[in-house]
Amino acid sequence: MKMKSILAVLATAMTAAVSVTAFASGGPEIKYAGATASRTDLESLQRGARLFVNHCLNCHSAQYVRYKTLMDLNLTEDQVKQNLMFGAEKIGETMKTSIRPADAKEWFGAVPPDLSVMARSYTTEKLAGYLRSFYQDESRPTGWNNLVSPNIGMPHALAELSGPTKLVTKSFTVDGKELKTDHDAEGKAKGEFIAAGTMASFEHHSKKVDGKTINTYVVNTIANAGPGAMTPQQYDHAVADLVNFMDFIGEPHKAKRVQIGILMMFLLAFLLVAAYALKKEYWRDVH
Amino acid sequence: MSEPVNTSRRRTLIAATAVPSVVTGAAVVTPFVASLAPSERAKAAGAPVTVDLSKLKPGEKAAVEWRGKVVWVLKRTPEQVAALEKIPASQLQDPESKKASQPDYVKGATRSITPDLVVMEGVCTHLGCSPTEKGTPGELGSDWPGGFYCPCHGSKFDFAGRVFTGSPAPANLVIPPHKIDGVVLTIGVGQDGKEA
Amino acid sequence: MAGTPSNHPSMFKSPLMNWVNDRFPLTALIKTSASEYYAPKNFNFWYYFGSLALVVLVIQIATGIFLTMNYKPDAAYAFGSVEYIMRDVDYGWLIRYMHSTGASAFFIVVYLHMCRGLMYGSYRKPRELTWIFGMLIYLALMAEAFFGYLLPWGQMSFWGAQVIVNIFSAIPFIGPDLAVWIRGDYAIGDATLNRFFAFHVIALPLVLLGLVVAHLIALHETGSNNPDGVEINQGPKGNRWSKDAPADGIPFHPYYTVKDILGVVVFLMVFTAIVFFMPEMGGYFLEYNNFIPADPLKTPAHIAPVWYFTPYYSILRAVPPLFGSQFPGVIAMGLSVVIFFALPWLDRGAVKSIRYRGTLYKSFFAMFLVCFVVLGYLGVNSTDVWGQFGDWSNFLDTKDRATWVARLCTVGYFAFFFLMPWYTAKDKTKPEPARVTMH
Repeated sequence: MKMKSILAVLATAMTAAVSVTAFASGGPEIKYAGATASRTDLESLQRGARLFVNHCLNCHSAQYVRYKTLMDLNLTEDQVKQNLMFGAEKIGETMKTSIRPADAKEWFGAVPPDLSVMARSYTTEKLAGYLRSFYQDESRPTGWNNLVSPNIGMPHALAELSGPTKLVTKSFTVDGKELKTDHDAEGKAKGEFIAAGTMASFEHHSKKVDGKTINTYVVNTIANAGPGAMTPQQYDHAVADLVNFMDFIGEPHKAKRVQIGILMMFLLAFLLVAAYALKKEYWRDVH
Repeated sequence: MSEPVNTSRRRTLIAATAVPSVVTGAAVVTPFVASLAPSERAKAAGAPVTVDLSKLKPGEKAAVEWRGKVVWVLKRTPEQVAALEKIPASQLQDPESKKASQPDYVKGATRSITPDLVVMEGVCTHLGCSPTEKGTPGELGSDWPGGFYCPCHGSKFDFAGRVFTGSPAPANLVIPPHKIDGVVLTIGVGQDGKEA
Repeated sequence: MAGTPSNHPSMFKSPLMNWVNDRFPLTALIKTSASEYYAPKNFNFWYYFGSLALVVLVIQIATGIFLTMNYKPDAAYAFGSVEYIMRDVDYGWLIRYMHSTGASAFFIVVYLHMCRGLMYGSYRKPRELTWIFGMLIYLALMAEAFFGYLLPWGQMSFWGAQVIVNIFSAIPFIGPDLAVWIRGDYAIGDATLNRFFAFHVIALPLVLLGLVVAHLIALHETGSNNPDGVEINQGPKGNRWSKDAPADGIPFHPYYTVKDILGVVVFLMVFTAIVFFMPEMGGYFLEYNNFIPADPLKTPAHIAPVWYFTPYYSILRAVPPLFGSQFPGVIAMGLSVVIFFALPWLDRGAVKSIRYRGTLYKSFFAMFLVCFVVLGYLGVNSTDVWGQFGDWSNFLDTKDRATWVARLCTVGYFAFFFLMPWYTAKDKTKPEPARVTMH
């Protein structure tokens, strides 16, 4: 009994601290789906560049990226200037945004973040998933909501390409017929979640009704709700190109880095052989 | 332990290790040395500068900043151009600008693409002060044809930036690469299209 | 050599070197520290890490100097100046990756070097001071890493510093004022960044260099330990190089210089592979959240210190607060680092090397290593990483399994030290050999 009371005292003393350290239990499970593109695919990067300057730079900046960097994508100075440079005069300038920060704050509730290293902090998979997860929601000031970042201030910047999209919600709960137990309901929901070809989320809600716990399993998917400038497949690839480009501006020297690395490894391999032979020769004295 | 030491083999192996070590060392030093060169930002800031010539009247001088230095764009009057030819070669250190730092496409006494318009760095070749204009003939002595005077150590230059004898400055004023396209002057790109 | 009489017999033919030698003890230095410094001939794999630590120190200083040329210690420009280095400065990305990889490499090398010291009893008499200087280097290194981590001014930089500085505010009475004084502001800000920069680039490097010199001087005074833990200086004399030198010693130069060169090349291959092919190391060497500029208004969802601090961070988190104060955790964390200093006096074993220790010591040592690694693993993760106990555990202060494991490991960690006088004395050791053994 003594032990228990000590523990009880300790527990009370700790409650405050624990409640601070307690984590919000992880939100819904997200499935990232969609096309990907390769960093070595220059055409994909060029298409991504075009999408980026046309759709992202209106509100976002990429203030550490110089337009000159785009010449690494096998483009001439004139091509960059004519097709990709709208807010700048000289090739050495950085990618500024045309929007004023104060205006942006008023319209979206926050200054749109700089995109120079966005792909390095969020990964291309998550960025692409985010861009594929917008759906129309009249309750939001912008008219758009997002499956992976609920209630985000940013509207669907690529809406003219994707066309209108909607959220499709399917709920599964015990109905006494096909779904006899919670296990059945969860299995059915998981099946839908795994089978979904688009971005999807899986959630589990439970509530108490008349002392009984009712479990509901919800699967949300994103569906096309009308024509846009692109078909859903084209849009999927366009997003892959766009995030591929964002990965490129996140670390423009990556290709060079890997090349130099391979050379250095060869050089060190030579050195290794020589150093090993040298050590062996000297250590004959010792052994 | 009793094995004799094979000195020549050791020498060979030391050399065999030293050579790739030196190569690796050089490879490691290279990026450090390269990092001291002007960065992309510095290059962007030092990009070619354009000047609108349509508003420049004869006898006027525009001062333009290019790569942190003052560049003079001077539209000389016909009298000033004519005066250049009259200066005796004996009074100039380098009348033909043979030692001067200037592009191939500026020649002769005028040191310019068109006779009237001269583009030169307003930086004294002695110790880097900026000379002041002393445009009136006779302003600095009776035979003064008009030109520039460096306040630091008294170097004198004519209206083509040629240095007079007796000046501490060792060379004529530097002419940066530039090109003229109608009324647009670009400093930093040569008439031959080469970028500085 | 006509004229000036030489103080030291010269080893050089060149007149210039002789000229130097008459004015500076160059020959004597080379002899005492290399060509006539006799080290035990049985060094194994674990003995590479001392020289590697020196190599990493050189890498960090060289890359650090070049980073300083372009970095701006100003809250408004710091993040941008790092991106400037990564993009606009020729090979700036390489220099920065070398520095960020070097930071982690330093700790890997130092941890292995310390582990060697533990295994072979290198901290014991007569090398207590070498150990203490080494520990001071380790402390200085931790401070150096902590100050340096703020400089990129990303989210992890900011919030990591915020959390660590706030640890000081848990100190009773003076804590809150102390934290403000350390920051020079009410929150981490420009003043903090500026002073951390000063500490990182000048104060601590000077301290580190001084300590490294002291560490080496102390080492060369007593001579190196070895995997057998026997003193070669007390063994028989006479080897092929000198009749007065220990029979089991070999001149450091050329034998250990060529061996260390080999070690350095292998190390550089690993280092190069990381720098060029995976500089982020999956988010452990460069954390993803640190590519987001510091935002004092938004805490990232999950903050963890860089991997090399996580064992101590785990201990801090594991110790439950007492009367609402986090101070016990802070004390435990501080103690977990400082207690290494006491090792030479806690160990009462009859032998130095783990080779001749008994099962009791080996069990405790193994437990310590496991606890250290598990604590390190848990420290990078959130406390719910292993889920929670069921309803039976309602009486516990926390249901997180990981927290309880961390508590267990904390106990294990301290047991290794606090019980050491007992179990090392009790331990059934094997007899040490008279001479070193070669395997």
